[in-house]
Amino acid sequence: MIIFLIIVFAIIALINVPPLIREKQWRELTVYSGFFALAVTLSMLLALGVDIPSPIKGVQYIIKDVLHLNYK
Amino acid sequence: MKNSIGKMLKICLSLLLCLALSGCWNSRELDSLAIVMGYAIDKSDEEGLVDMTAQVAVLSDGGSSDNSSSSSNTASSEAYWNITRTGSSIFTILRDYTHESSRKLYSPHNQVIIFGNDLAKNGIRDYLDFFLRDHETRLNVWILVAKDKASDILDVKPKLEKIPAIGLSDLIEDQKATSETVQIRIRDFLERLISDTTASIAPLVEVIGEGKDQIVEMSGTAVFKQDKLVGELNKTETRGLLWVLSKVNSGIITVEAPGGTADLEIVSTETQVNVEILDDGSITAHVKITESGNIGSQTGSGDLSKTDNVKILEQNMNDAITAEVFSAVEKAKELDADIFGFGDMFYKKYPQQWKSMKENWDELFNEIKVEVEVDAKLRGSGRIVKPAYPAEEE
Amino acid sequence: MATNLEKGRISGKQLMFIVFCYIQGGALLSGSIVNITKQDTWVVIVTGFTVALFIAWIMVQLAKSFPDKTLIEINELVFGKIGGNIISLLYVLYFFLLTTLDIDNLTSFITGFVMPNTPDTAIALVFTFVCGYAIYKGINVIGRCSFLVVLLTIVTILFNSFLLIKDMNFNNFLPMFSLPFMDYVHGTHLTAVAPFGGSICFLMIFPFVKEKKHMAKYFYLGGAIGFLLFLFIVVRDWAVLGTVATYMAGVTYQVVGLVDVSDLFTRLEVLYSIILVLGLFYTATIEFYSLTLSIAQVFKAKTYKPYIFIIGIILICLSNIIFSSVSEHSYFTANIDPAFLGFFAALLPAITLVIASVRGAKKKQGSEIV
Repeated sequence: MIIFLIIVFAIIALINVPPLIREKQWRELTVYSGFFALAVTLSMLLALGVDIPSPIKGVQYIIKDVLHLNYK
Repeated sequence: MKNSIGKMLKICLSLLLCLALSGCWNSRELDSLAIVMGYAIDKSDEEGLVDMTAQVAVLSDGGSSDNSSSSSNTASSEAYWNITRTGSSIFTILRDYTHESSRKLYSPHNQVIIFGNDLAKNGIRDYLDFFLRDHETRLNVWILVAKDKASDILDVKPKLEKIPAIGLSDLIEDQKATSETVQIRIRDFLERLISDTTASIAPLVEVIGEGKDQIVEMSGTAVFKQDKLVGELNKTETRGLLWVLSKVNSGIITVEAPGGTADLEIVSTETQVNVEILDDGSITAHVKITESGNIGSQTGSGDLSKTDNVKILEQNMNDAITAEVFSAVEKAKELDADIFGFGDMFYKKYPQQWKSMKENWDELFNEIKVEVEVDAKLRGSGRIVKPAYPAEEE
Repeated sequence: MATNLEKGRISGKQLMFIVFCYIQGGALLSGSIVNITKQDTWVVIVTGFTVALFIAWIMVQLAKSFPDKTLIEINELVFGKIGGNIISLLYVLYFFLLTTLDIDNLTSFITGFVMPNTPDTAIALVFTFVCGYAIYKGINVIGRCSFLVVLLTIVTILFNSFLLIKDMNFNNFLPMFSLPFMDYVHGTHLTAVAPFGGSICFLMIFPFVKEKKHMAKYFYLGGAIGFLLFLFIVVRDWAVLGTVATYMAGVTYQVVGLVDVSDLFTRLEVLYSIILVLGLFYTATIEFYSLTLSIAQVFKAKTYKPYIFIIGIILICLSNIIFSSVSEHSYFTANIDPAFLGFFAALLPAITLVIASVRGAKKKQGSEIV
């Protein structure tokens, strides 16, 4: 599973990164790498079975416990 | 160059996506399915367990060519197979079937669910839960209660059909012709179960006869209080109930006629029920029935096409229908079961007062005054106008 | 600037169809609303729609004040460079969660009713892939298919409803207006923001509509027809099932499954699943599109296309983790969603509009510079 993920990400990187380097779009490259890293981390963590806290829970916490804007 | 690689890739991708269309994770080939046509659930001899019988359709076409005088293999000429297993709950029994059946049971074509009498007396709500929750079972399934053991019903080979469950399902549909049986699907049963006050009903079915001459017959209605069987309605009382529910489709009522009797056929009816709380606190339900029908057949020499006679017939019909309704009301009061749904009608009309009425609905129901108003019309007399008697001399 | 990112254009009519499909994607919501307001659900849909109209009005005003500018650009103009970027980032996070919620809706529907043993991720993967592909091809393509989807949806729903007429019982709607007041408020709030909760996404799409003059009209019309069909579906469902509907998961699906006309027209819920998936596809695609576009704009990228894949993967991962159970999902939808969506879909745009008009007024007086 993890090997499959690595292969997929390598392919994506190979397709998308060289054009950016070629045209020296450094800013683009940084932003792109940022998202890429996020995607890789998330999927790796999921594949390894690590429990990631859900952002929805964060929203729920803010709205329910902090602001008390929930209905029930 | 780039174009052809791109095209190849796109074609491959489309083919890959097609894999998702068949739902290949969940796909099951037709010959790996045991198609269930009917379920029968009985109380088991062992404490706290239930017997469930599944009637599986046998879909091979063998056995019809030879003359079936070879009695050694009678099982192969049957079009169905009843498997019975015992367990503590429906779902565990269903999975348990795989210990015996070479194919996993497939429920979407299920026609009927029959509950045994003993089990019904103890309450069937827990056993219904699976059929409501599972995504294979459907809400259109017929519910029946057996007069004795449910699995006996599924053992009786119908005369006109190959599979008992299908014969039973067709039998239920045909009841429209006499309207002396209720037709209850699981969703109708659910609707009554979740009401606080309305009593659930289901048709009763029994096995009549011995040995090879057994037949299955519909015989009245089972009345439940919540989910426990408490009593029965016979055929006339059932039709009385159907009058109030506006579910009478067709049927024959025999009434007295000048010169003999007449069988009047019900063609169309409509019922309106109005509930009211009177000033003195008592509650009434006003049932207004309009009916139109034909003369089906008559005995005697009375000329029933004369207006006076028609009026007499209509009046007799009114009385007959009223009597049927009252017999249903009496039995319902005797059983303390609100099978008509009057409680829900009060809720819909008087939501505020209903809060206090709900508590003592049993007593209130016993005291409810039901007024019946029938307007029966005789539309036609069939192909002949006068009975086959020599003409009278005026 | 925005027009550099996206070369495609859609016509006003296509905008109307897209809005309609977007609302149909939220049709799964009817179950949540029905649980709150039971027999008076039709009331809250009507009132909710009125509130939604007001929210739509805010969108249109913003679009009119800043023609040809997407939401991100508007934010920058109104709140200044730093403020605008912060608010835009908030919107990006919002879009992330919004899209994930819709992908999750789809996977729960499919695994709940159609293919129970299939892992969620597989379904999310295929679905997100198709959405991503639609975005890759541009808004033009999305606009062009919308007409077909609208046609299919309306025909299927009318056909199903026609076959259900004999099962309808309008007594189910009594007693009327006997629920506690807060339930009506809750229902209205939920209806106003939820099917239309991503209406803010449309602020990313307005710049690409060809006819600016009648754009507002098409927007309102699409919303109105979408809500009308939603109302129709909810009324039909309750008329057929009555109180039983509150016990059902996936009310409309079960209702359509009841169609049984002389053994000929049975098991029609398949048709319904198809149009539901199509509707959800539109909802998810529009939100996904706004997401990629806004990320591209916030980070000043030349094109949004390379981001699609990566963001798609992040979305799939997120959809796996957001809810750990069905009950959490329904609790969230019924109780937290109104506040969450209301903030981003209604409150923030309203604030933006107010500040924009104040600034505009100031500019006219010539007294204040940015």
